[in-house]
Amino acid sequence: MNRLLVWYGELATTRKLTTRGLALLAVPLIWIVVLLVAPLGAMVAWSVASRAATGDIEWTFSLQNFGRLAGYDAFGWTKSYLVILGTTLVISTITTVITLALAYPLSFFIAQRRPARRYLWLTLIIIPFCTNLVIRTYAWMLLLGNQMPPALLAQWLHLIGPSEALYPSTLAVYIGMVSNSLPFAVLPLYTNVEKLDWAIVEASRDLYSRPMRTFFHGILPQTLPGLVTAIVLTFIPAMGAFLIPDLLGGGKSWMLGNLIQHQFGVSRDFPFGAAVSLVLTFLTMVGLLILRRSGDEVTFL
Amino acid sequence: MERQYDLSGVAAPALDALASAGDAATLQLERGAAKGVVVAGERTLADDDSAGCDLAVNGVTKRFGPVTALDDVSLKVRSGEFVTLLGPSGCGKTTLLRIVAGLELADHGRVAVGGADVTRIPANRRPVNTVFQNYALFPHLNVYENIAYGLRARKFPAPEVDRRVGEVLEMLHLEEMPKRRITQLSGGQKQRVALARALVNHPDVLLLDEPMSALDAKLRAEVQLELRRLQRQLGKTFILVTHDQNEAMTVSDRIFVMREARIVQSGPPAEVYDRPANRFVAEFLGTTNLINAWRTNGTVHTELGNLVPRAHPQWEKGFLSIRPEQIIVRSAKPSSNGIRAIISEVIYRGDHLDVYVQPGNLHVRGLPRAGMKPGEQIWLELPARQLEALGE
Repeated sequence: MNRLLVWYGELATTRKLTTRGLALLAVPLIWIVVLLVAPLGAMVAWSVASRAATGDIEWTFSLQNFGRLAGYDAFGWTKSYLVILGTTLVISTITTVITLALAYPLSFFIAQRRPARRYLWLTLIIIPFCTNLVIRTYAWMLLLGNQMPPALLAQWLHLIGPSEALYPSTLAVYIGMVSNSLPFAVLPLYTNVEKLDWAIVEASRDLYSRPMRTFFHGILPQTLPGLVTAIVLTFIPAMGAFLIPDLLGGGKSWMLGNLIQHQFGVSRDFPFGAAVSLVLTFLTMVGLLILRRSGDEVTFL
Repeated sequence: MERQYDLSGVAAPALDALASAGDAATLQLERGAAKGVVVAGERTLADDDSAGCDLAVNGVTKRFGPVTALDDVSLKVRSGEFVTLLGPSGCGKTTLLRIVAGLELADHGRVAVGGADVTRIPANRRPVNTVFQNYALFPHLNVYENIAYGLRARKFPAPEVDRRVGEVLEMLHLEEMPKRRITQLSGGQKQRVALARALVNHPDVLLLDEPMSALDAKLRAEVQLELRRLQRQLGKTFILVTHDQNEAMTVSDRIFVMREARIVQSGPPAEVYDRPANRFVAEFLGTTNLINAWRTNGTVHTELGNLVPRAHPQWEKGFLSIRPEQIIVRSAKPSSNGIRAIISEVIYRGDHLDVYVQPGNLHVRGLPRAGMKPGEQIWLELPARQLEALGE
C-alpha cells in the first residue's frame, strides 16, 4: 500500500517515509547494539564462565561466581563479600541523605538570589567539575592531611589524637563522596525550586497553617520531582564509586566498585568481576523501579 | 435552618452566655460566631455570623523599592457588603487585598476587621480567607482535603470537618467530586473548589483576587451571577479585586475605583457610571464621548458649539462627557444642547447600532432602525442631566 500524504507540509508517500524512517533509526540502533547490548552480553557470558588457574577465562557454564558473592566457596561460607555489599548500600544511602540535606537549603538559597547572582552561584558549584575526579580527590587528601587546618581543628577539639590526620578515614570518604555528588543534587533541585508556586505557600498560610505544616503541604510536594531526580543522580553513582573510597578510605573500606576493579585488575578474575557488576546493575535497576513507582505519585507537576 | 432567636440587638455578654450553651467547640475557634443569630440545632454557614464583619483600612501606604503601590489609602467596608477594587493593572488593588489578607505588610497605616486591629497579626491568624487568582489549590490533595485544609490546620474534630465540607460541597455543586484529584478538574471546577476552601472556614471577610480571570467569557458571566447570589445568601463581606468593569458592575454593592496607588472614586455602580468623578473613571467604566471644553464666565464652549452640562464646572479647561446610549437622535432641532451632525459610520451590533457622527467623531448608540445611513444629516441632543463636566 503506497499512499500519498502530506507529512508536516511535505508531499510524500508512505513507502518513502518508511524507508527514510528506517534509515534514521539505523544510526541509534547500531549505537545501542555496539555500545550497550554487546558489552552487556559479554558481561553475562563472562559471569557464567569461570577463571582458569592461569587467569584466563574457561568457558564452562556455572553459577559459582554468584554463589561466591553470596559467600559460598570451596571452604564453606564467609560473609566478606556480603559485608562489602552492605557497606556499599550504607555508604551510598548516607551519602545521599547528607547530600540532599545540604542541596535542599542550598537550592532555595540560590533560587532566592537576584537572577544575575544565581548564575554566579551555580557556576561556583559547577566549576570544580571541570577538574578530573582523581585530581579533586588528591586535593582532598592534601586538605585533610595532618598539618592542614581541618585536621588541626579536629586535633584541638580532641576528636583525633595529636598529629593524626583526617585521612584516610570513613569521614574522608563521606567528604569526598558528598562533594562529588552535590552539584548533581543541586542542579535538579534548583530548577525545581526556581519554578515553585509560592501562591500555594501563601494559601497554606492564609488557611491557618503554621510554618511546619506549610512546609509539608506547600513546599515539599512541589519539590518532590526535583528530589527524586537528585536521589537518582546521587545514589546510583555512589553505588558504583571506587576511586573515592580507594583513595580517601585508604583501601580499608571496600565498596562493590573496588571489588569489581580488583577482579578486572590485580585478581585477573574477569568472570567474578562480571558477576559482581551484573548484581550491582541489577540492584541499581531495582532502586530505580522503586523510585519510579513512588514517582508515579508525584507526576502531578 | 429555621431561626429560633433573632439576637442581633442583644448585648454581647448575653449572647456569649446563650452561645456557650450551644456548639462550644466551634465557638472557641470561631471568633464572632455569636454576633449573628443562634439557630436551632447545628448552625450552618448561611446562618453563622450572618452579618459578616466590617473592614477598615486606614492610611495604608506601601512601597516596593522606588515604586509606590499604595499611597495613603483609606476605605471602610460595611459588614455584609460586596465591594470591588477596580482599576488597571499596577494600580495597587492586589497589594491592598494582600495587605488585608496579611500576605504583605503595610509601611504605614492600619487594618481592622470587625473592629479588631489586625495590622500586626500574621495571615494564619486573621479571620479572613482568600480566593487566589490561579486558585493555588494543593496539587497533592484531593478536592475534599483541599477544602478541609483550613479546618484541619485548626484541629477541628473529624465529624465537624465532615459536616462543614459537606455543606460547602453542596452549596457549590461539588457533591460529585470530593475524591477527585485537582488535576482532573476543569477551570470552573477549580474555581469553585478554591471558593469552597475559603468559605468552609466561615471567614469574617472573604477576599477574591481576580478569581475569574482564568475563565472564558461565558463561564465568567455565569460565575459572576453565582457569586453575587452566594454573597446575598450568606450575607458575608466580600472584597473582589478586578480590572474588568463589567464584573465590578455585575457583582458589587459598591465599587472603589483605583488609579496609581490611590482610590479615585467610590460608590454604587450606577453612581460611579453616571457620575464619574473625573475623565479617568469615565473612560475606565464603559465607553464615553469626551468633548474638549473651556469656560468663559457662565458659558461652556466646545468645538461643537456652546453646551450646558449638568453641573457648572470649576475648571477653565476640561472635558464634557456623555455616554453613547445617552445621546438622543432627533429629527428636528432640540430646544437645548442640539448638534447638527452627519453620520460617518453605522455598525450593526444585533441588539443595537453603533453610530459615529461628525463633527467631533461622537459615538451614538441606538436601537437598530431604518434610515441610519452614512452621509445622512441628523440632529443630536446631548441632555444636560447626563452631560458631565469633568477634570483630568
